[in-house]
Amino acid sequence: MSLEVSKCDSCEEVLAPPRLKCPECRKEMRMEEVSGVGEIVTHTTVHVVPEGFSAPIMVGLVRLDAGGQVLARSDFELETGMRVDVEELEDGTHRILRID
Amino acid sequence: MALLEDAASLALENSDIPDVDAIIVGSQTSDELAKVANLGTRLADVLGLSGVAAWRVENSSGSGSALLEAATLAVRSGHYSNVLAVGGEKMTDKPTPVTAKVLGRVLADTEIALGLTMPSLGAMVARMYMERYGLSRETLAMVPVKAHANGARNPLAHFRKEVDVGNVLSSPMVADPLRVFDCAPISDGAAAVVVTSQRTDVEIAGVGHGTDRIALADRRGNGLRATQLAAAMAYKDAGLTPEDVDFAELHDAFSILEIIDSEDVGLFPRGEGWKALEAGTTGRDGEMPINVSGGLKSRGHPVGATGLAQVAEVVWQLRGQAEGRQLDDVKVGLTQNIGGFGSNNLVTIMRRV
Repeated sequence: MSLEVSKCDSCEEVLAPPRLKCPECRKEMRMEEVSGVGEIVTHTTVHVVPEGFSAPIMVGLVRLDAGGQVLARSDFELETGMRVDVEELEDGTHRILRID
Repeated sequence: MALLEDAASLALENSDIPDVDAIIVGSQTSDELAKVANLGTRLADVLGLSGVAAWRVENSSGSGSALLEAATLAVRSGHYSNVLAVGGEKMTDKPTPVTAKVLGRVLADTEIALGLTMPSLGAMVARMYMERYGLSRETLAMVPVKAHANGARNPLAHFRKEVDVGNVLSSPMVADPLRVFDCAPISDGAAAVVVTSQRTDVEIAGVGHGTDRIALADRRGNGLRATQLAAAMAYKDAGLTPEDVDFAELHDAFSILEIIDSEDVGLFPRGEGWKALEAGTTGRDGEMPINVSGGLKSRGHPVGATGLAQVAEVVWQLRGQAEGRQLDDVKVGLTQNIGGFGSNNLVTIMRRV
């Protein structure tokens, strides 16, 4: 899926979800659509969740091939190094999708 | 307020300072969990110090060290001579899910929206470290085992009961791979110190403070950059190096953090903190004792008090007053205190003079 990220022309940082200003060099960031494909860096299954959520919550940190990382929930078990895709949901959060 | 008042009164009694000219107080959640605000004025009032300057510092779970930093700089500048530094938290009045939600407000909006809490991020960092550096789940369990062994000797600790690796590994899962015994408890408590321009037997030799991007996904590099920046600043301020440090109190809100912290403050090379733990180097009788107080895990983690509780432990150790857990011949002690999930951290170095 395609994701909107922001890129900093000064330090080459890529951030998802996108930001207007680079947190490191105060420069305006450039918006760009990139592929959500990447690799799981780490993950967890949360069994004790805050008020208003139901357990368990599976979540993974994905390093995008296009640069930057995004934290996203998953409906299936994750493994470090797994190749996945990421989609952006209506509420602005992200979800991990399988790659066949 | 009673916790803050008790700790403040004890610190004033134990110092030779009859009067202070400023009070700095810290708490993360008092407005929501304890339903009390305007802590500076209230404290001045109940302590019989009405009239002196008083203010609050809020820096999440790093409030204690941040307010000590403010007190230190206030005294160094010459603007104030004697500053009472007090931090405390009353956290057990509300059910745990409510407290967890209030504590979780320090996270990035993107993390809160996913339903993540502090232990969820701790779990992801733990897995990353374990897979990258070969740390086993069993060795990680040695952090809380050591914490409880130390806390059992500390009359001021929240938990004074020893546990073994089996207890840790059979405790309920919070966020895989972290279990209940990997996580610091919800505690009530307070700590206080008096910072003075007068010459005393213990000096605050160096203070350092750093931040990192708030969202875990936006951070780069290994370990916690905020700690690395704070440590570099504190060592420079003190004119000391990690080789000069005799013992440390580190922010083990989650077991994995003690190991990462010990590397971030330069006590061990990257990826080797767990080997020092496994070899007993960081034990009470080891070459570099870490968290002889019991740490956050066993001493307790009343968030606004924690940084100052670490400092109080170092001062007692340097003065030979650490009842039941005194280390031999220590001269330099270091504390490292985390605010947020590792996004706003402080390092304080103290020296016996």
